[in-house]
Amino acid sequence: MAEVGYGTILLALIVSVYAAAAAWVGQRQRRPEWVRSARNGLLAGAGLTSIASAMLSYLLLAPDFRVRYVYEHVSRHLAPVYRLSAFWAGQEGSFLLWLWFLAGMAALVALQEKVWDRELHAHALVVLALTEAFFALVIVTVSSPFVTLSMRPAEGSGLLPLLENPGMIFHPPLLFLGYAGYSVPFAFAVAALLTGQLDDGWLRGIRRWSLLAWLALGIGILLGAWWAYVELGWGGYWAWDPVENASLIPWLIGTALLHSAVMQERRGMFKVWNMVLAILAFVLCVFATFVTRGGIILSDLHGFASSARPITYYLLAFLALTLFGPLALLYRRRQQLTGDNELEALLSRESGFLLNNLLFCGMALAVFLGTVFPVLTLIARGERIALETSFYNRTSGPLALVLVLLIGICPVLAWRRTTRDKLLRGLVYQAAFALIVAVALFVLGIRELYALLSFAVCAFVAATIVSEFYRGLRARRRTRGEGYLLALGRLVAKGRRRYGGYIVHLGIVLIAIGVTGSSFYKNEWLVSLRPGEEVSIGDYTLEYENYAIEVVNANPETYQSKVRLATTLGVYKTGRKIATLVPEKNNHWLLQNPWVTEVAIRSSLKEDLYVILGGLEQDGLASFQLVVNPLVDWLWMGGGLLLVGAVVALWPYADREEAELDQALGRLAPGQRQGRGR
Amino acid sequence: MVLVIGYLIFTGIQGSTAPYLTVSELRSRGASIHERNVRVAGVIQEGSIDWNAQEMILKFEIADESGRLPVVYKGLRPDMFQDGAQVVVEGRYTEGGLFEAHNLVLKCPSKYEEAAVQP
Repeated sequence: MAEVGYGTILLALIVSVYAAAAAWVGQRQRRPEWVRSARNGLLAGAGLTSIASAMLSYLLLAPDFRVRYVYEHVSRHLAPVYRLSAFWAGQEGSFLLWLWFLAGMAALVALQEKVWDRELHAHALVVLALTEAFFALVIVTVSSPFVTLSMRPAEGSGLLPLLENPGMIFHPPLLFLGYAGYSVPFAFAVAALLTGQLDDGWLRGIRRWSLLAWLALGIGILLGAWWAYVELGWGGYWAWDPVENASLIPWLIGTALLHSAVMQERRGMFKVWNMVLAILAFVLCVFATFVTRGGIILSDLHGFASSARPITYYLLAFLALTLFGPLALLYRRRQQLTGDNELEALLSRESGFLLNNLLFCGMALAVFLGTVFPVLTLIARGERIALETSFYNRTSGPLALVLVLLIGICPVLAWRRTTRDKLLRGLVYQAAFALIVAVALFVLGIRELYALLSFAVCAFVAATIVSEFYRGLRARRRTRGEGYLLALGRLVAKGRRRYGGYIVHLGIVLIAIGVTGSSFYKNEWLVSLRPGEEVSIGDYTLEYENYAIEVVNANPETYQSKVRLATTLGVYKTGRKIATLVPEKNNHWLLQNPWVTEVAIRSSLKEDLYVILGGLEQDGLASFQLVVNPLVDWLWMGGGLLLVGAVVALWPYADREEAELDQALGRLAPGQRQGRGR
Repeated sequence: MVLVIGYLIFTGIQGSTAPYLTVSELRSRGASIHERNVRVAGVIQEGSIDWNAQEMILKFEIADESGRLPVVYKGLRPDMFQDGAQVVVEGRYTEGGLFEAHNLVLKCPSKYEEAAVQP
């Protein structure tokens, strides 16, 4: 079985190298049958990697401990779903998942023959096939999950308990889906540079791909934050750990790309910029893989002897190639990439987009610098100095605030130029609403300047978005006499890109509210209680009811074997029992770091009560860290809206006419394209 | 705008790199040291841990090449807190020679991966 899995990857390597060569030669010598053969090669690659993935899934589920990867990540104590999720628990499996998604995307692109210009398409297939070959090569040479042991152990060592969490079922695959997804914009950007077809063709074709990759990455990041919140047990959801940052950086660049692509589509501007962003987004995905799976750990916390392994060099070489190759091409083509239009006025939709791009790239740069700072100081001064998390808050905080504010201003800015009066008139109601919210919050006791500012900005933006919906609704009702719900449904259905975008923006506002509330108004208490005692914090009274100390999964010994220390707390609010919480602390004695905390959370829209069991003595004396985290639920709700909005924007139209209508609806003033100075 | 971003990053870096001090540096810095927030890295000394679960007060000593330092911390005892562990303490060095930590960071191999066990 394992040998078959390895064999299929080896075949996938051969097939993808062949596909790259066939597509290249076929294009050069004008032989369409060769390009067709390359397409078939990519389809075969997708089939082969699917077989390999099915094999690994089978081996994990069985579980077949003769396979080293299975032995290292699975035990019989694990539920089937976590045996399956062990697929991406380690480096080898993660690379297989990367390859599998990549091969799937490449095959889908290969099938899009009708959509693309032939020359552009063939070149993109070359790039995709080569990328696929690289990952297959890594697996075949240094990172195969199909390596077998000389004997079959009776039991596996098991999954790290931290990974035995629902968040870990979806978080890594979504990230890898995003990473693999950005290979498509990258491939077409490089193809456009190679062929010299530098008009908008490549960019229009990748819109859905880049939105899909952005969505997968965004939801993946949020699920990672959720996992950290419920599983790592320190009371927060984002620690600016290099591993987290690594996935955030390409997302920020990808978000910039989504916006700047609109600028090229509508106004023929930002051409070089779009090229650079499409390339960077993918390069940074490779960088993220390098940080998390490359064998070098950048963090100051992980003060382990970080040894460079073969895979480190593979990834470094690939990083250099994907970054400098396209940049050299871009330099060669720089003359052909001049914009059709210049920025005409400071007050215009264009300058809003420009600012948006600067802010996203600035944030990405700040996070990137913070992440690699220890390496920079290691090179410059011979020692690792890590930045404190305050660095990220100081840089990203203000930038993010301005970005959110822009969401609220941009819909009011017209393309090309807006007069100041028009702008002010368009913003007056939202600004008044924001002011009312700020005053109300001040009266309610919110005195932190930044928090007030942030909430006011969120109110302002929410008001703009709601009024945009209202304007559309009113127009439909007036012209067609539709009821509110029907009008809303049709409005969104007819203008999916525009209203999908608004829904996403509303999701961002909810996330901003959640981040503000939980960053500024988090409260912590430390208490130690004996069974039967109670304590009052905030609006809550907690009664320590009882405790249990027991051994779970003792035989055979795996990572899932543990001494479970559990306490039961009754939570009361205004005299009524509202919840029973069971915070635990488990000692997985086989692990080098045996203690794993299982927090208990009682969520509401207003706040989370987050209980960490710090320690439990034999006689029941327990120490707790109690955290009240305001508005955390808003983050997850915002994530839901993000998903809904992006799906709306991605949803294909049944016919062409409607799609064109959607395009037209997105423009405030018709016919900007005519204004281009060709 | 580019300037603003550059400024934010620059001042951010300046404000966020609290240097590590060694124990002897701490002692030789003079009175000004007692008002500042500093970080010291060291190894938790064998047998020095005194954990009061009732009051949640953790007393211990760390040492680097230049000397030993008694530390007091109020809070939960971190999971990996044990003799011989590498720790970074952040806080204030008091006149009495005691270090009052408000933050403990334990250096761990990795949060995400465990060294593979050989059969």
